[in-house]
Formats: sequence, C-alpha cells, structure tokens
Amino acid sequence: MNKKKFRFLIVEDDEMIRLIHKDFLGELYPDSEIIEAENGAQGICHYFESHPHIILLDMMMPIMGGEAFLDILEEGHRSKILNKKPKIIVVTAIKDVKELMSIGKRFAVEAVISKPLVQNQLKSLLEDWIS
Amino acid sequence: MNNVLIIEDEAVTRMMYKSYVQKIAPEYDIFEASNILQGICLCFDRHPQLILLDMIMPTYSGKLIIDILEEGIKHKIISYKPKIIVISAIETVEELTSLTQRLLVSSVMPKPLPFDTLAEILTLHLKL
Repeated sequence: MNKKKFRFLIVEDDEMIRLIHKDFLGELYPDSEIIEAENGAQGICHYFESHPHIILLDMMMPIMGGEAFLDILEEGHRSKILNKKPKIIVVTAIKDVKELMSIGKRFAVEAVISKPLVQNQLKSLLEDWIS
Repeated sequence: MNNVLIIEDEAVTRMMYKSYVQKIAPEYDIFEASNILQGICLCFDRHPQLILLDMIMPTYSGKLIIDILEEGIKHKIISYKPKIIVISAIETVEELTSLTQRLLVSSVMPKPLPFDTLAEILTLHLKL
C-alpha cells in the first residue's frame, strides 16, 4: 500500500485515546488522511463515505459498538454488497481470552491489541502493510 | 436516485411489498434486504430515496439503521436523507411517539400493513 494516498479511520469514544492514536499515526505517516469517529455509528458512516484502508476499532462504545461495526461489514461482504476489504486493528480493553480470540477470527480483523495500546506493536504491524 | 429499499426479514412479506411498490412506482428500482445489516450496506451503497423498514427483526432491530443515519447526518458525515416508513406492530403509545420523533421517520404504519394507506404514503413521499 502507498503511504501518500493512505486513509486511516479511528473509531474510539475516548477523546484522549483518539488524539494519541491520531498523533502517532500522523507522525508515522504525515501524508496520510486520518478520519475520526466517536462511536460505531459515525464509524460506519465514515467507512462507506471514505473507504479507509486501515481501521483502528474500539469494541465498547455508546450508540453502536465495535461488534455491530464488524457484523455490518461481514454481512455486506457475505451478501456481496461490499467488495472492498479493509484491514481492521481492534484496540480493546477486553481481557477475556476466549472473547479476544473470537474477535481475532472476525472478517477483516488483522490484529487485536489490548489497551493501553503499545505503540511499538502498532508500528510494527503498519510497517508490514505500508511501503 | 430513484431507489426504494425494503428491509424485511419475512420473504413472503418482502415480496408482497415489492410487487406493491413496483405497481405504484414503476420508475423506481427496488432493493431488498432480509436483515438490518444488509439493509445498512444497501442504504449506503444505493442511497434510496425511501426505505420501508420492519422494526422487529432477529439479532438487530430496525432501530440500528435509524441510529446510524441520524448520527451520520447530525455530524455531517453523510449528506443524503432517506425518508423512512416504519412498518411495525406498535404496542404502546410511548413506542409510537418515540418512533415518530426520530429525524428520518416520515410515517409509522401498523403491521399487517393496510395497502391503501401505503399507496397514499408512497404517492406523497415519492411525489408520484
């Protein structure tokens, strides 16, 4: 994937965490576009409007959580309404191992990272994807 | 766009709505979703002018699409505003009131649907 035309979507209800993600991604990829959403409902609207390449997704949010976000994309692909597949990194405070493993198997989920996010983990993931 | 989206989990009911809308508004393309998740994807993909929405469906109710579209419009992420006709077996006045107060809900129809009333509502909202 090309650095310059790159679009990130951050779906996170905690403003401070969103800002930390945004600053970090902005420093790593200054020419990329970074879109922010405060909940899953805003996130899904941004997804369809901007088609981001990489999504950082929190699971527990008001109005609509990450689970419904993943369900919508999964069903859209299953029923062939959607044909693009983003890379999703779930960043979550969930500690239950079984739950984390089941999230990791969901459509388009490439990684599950525990909160608080260790930025080196995210950096090494992104370096594998972005040239 | 001249599109109508029908979101209804019962295939027979969906087919009935489809043939009815086709008869009243033949110039409209009709898209069908058998659950709310498909409905959300089709809504963003096809930008329907009107959505016929069953509220009570398995897993996710019709409320989810209303929540998403309202949030998108409120935060200026999306610019189109489909009209939503909710078709639901409403049981309480509170339920009816809370639905009619939603931004995109143009009408709330009882289930089973009185087709004569639907014809009037379609004619009104699609400006036929």
